[in-house]
Amino acid sequence: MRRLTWTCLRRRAAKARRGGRFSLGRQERPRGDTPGDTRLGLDRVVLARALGVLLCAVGWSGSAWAQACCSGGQAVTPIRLGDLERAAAGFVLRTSGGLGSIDAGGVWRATAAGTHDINLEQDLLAAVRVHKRVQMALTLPWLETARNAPGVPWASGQGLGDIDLAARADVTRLDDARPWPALAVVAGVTMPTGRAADAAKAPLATDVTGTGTWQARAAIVLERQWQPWLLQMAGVLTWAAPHTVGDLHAQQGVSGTVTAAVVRELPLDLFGSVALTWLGAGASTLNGQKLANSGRSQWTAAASVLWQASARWRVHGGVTSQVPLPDLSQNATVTLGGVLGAVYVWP
Amino acid sequence: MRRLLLFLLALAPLPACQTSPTESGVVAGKTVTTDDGLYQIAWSAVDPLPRSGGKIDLWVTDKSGQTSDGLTVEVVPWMPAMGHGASVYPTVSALGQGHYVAQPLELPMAGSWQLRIKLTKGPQESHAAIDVDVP
Repeated sequence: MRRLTWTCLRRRAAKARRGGRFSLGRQERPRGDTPGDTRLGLDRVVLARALGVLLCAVGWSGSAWAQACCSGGQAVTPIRLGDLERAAAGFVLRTSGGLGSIDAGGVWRATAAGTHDINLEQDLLAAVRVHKRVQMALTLPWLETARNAPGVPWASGQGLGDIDLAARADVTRLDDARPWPALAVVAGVTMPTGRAADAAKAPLATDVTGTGTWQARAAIVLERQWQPWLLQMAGVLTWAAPHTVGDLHAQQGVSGTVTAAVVRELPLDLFGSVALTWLGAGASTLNGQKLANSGRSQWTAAASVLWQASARWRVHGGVTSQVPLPDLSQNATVTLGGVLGAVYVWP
Repeated sequence: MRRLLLFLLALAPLPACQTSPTESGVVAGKTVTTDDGLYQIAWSAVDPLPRSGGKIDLWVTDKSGQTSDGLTVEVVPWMPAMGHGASVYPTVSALGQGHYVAQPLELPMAGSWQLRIKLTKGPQESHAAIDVDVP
């Protein structure tokens, strides 16, 4: 699953900042402002947006960094619009390198000497609001992979990844005045537009860019603010369609991710966030038989920073890595990576 | 002289455990049984298996312990947790006395793999699987 950082744009302001604290609530328009005016009180707008962006950026920390063949369908949404925003577009640059893996028995294995695994990805993101509480988002990924192994020279490949489409509905919104958390539901589908591992042609399968199967997901997102902190919890369930390779009929187990993210305001109008994600998947089946020890368990940690470059541009960056916990992990690929992205918003 | 002869005899390779003398970390002495119980497969391979160009030796015997020749042997790499295989399947060569060699093994991703083996003789198909890990 490789997929994006989110851009969560919110325009909320309920109270003025006091002594470095901020408040997120329903926006109060200064006299003379017109709907869609992006030059409202910068403090309130920036903070609200930043919190949303960071949560989206770091909340997408887990499966997004897995290898092309096996990821996808587990991010919530690639871009998230604020209440008064009509559309947004952006791009994300990702890179990661393989450190090792945890096998089916939960044993850590570092990458073999002389072996390297480097993944690059560029995503084009777009979102549009179709209803005051519903928005749609699209991700177009392009992937490159470079690998080498003892006795095998460096090989590389690239191509279009699995295109993703998602819809988000805000059931309740983040509001200071309400004691309960904001709730949103998300549905998404990942299309097998990339090249699957079974169809690879390049050496060391470096031209693999997709999972080779359709995936559908549903998610619930909860957000709650305790000034100056904001907490997000997201849970995603993903189902992969069965697929056939030769005379092998495979079906992956249902997978789920749980993400907890915390955001805090930093000096110089920066915002920082940390997130922890757990991914679990049930055993897979092959020709109708369940495969022993084929489930997955993986932990990922991420940290991210947002900078509000202008009223409509925001830039974010972060680092992420799977946490090699042998006793708590199974069939996990451990990588270390970074992300850099930017989003432009139309009010 | 007698001690020298005994030493040289000890170095002579045993037919049932043929491995490359230049390889270290060889996994040998493991066996799997086909799902229908008709065959036992002893196997050996370098440990850990490389991501590219590796091989595995198979020795197939029937229920009575007799070597099984004349089988059509297919080896298909599969990654159970990730739901995909490899785009290159190894070629299996029969070396006689129930000994088969599958190469090259292309296992481009780190993790747990399963080498799914199909033995065919006439209309009879037997299946087995060998679990290996690639760093």
